[in-house]
Amino acid sequence: MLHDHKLRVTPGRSAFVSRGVTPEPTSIGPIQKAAVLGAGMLGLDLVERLSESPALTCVLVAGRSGTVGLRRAARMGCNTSTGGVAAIAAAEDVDVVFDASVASDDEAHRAALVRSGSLLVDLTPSNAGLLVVPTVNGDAVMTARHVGLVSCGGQAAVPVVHAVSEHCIPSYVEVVTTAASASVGPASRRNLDEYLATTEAALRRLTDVPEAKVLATLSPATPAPVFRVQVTIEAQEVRPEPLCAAVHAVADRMRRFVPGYAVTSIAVQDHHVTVAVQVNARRSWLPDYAGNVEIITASAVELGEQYAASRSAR
Amino acid sequence: MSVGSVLGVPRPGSPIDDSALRVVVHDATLRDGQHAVAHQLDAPQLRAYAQAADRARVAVVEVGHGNGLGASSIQIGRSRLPDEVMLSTVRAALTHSRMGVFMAPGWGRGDDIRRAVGLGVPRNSGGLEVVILGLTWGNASRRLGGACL
Repeated sequence: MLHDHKLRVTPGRSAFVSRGVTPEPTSIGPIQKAAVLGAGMLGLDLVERLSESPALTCVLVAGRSGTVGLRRAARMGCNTSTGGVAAIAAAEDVDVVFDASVASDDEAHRAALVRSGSLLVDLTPSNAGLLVVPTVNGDAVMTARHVGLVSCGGQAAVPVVHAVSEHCIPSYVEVVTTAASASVGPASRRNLDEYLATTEAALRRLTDVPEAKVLATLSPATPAPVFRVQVTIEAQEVRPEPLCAAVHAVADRMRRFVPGYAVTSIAVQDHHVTVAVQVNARRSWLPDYAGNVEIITASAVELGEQYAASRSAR
Repeated sequence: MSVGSVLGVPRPGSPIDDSALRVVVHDATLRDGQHAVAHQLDAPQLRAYAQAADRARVAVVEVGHGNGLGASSIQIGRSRLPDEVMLSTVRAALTHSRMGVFMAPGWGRGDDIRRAVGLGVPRNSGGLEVVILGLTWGNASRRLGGACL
């Protein structure tokens, strides 16, 4: 019997900026207005991060009526709506929409959002937009209107696989992600097949590896284990020294916005390269083990900020 | 051989009536047993065992990689045969027993079960038995309409 304990996201008391209170302008350019769809684990963490972003401000959180998360978002000072994606589509002047709901929901409304000209950043593993991993192809936000953040496992694995594949001739990659049961909410569980398929698609599209397989496990262990991603690549002509340097370099780039991202081992053996990554959450209101939540919300805000910077540069 | 599922379990609190219990035996040799041989059973071995189990009127004959559909991998070992070949081989050998497949969400996925169902159920047999592992994945298994052990 597995016991699931709901992850308690207990946001800090940092002031939430909305309803016309504008933060000091920064060199990044004009503040971009953001909306968040979904008030689950990811949605609430996004709201907190947006409240601290110099480039983005949250103007609306839309979810389902009567949910604890939506009430919590309201207590954090957000404008909230129970109208779901339709409420965001009806809102004016939203520059960036972060979708932290369910992968299969409401394609028509999603299309309406994209037509409105706002950038849609999809945190669900829907594989509907252009798949983006900020350190690999983040510049896609300059032109694309609908981008998908793949999955937490994809955000952790793709940068490493991309770096490795530049220093060998890869033929196959296998990725195993292990998250604590307590850090995976009901929407993520419903999206499991999409999670696997979209992560595999991102590995094939964004790296030079032609074939990919992803396996996902949840661990009910207590104390809960930190989010881990292990990557095994079958390859020829492996050049270990530049390969290791490239992997460590990409980990440094990841730590700029995911401070708990760490490469814990790199092993090169015959025609196999194995890299282990773990992601600790460093935000005060997330438990340490919930790196899977942190990496996707941090990547979303990073992408939103890249978008803000590209707009101000125009 | 393992006792796989108990059907007709009385409601909690009601007195146990033995006549309401039906024990269904799942023979997991060609699935769980694969772990002992690094998932290397070949087609003649699958066929011979399935025919013997069928003659013995075993209710459910499971087949596949040791960790179920879609689980052939570097991590736990690659199957000698693809899932479809294993399933087709055993399907052809069964005339009375039901064929069983096993899926652990996260290792396998819904499409693996759809493909297994698409291969068709054994002729003249009881059909296909799908076992989906994991209470924590209850939503996934309900969506597939499968059993959740």
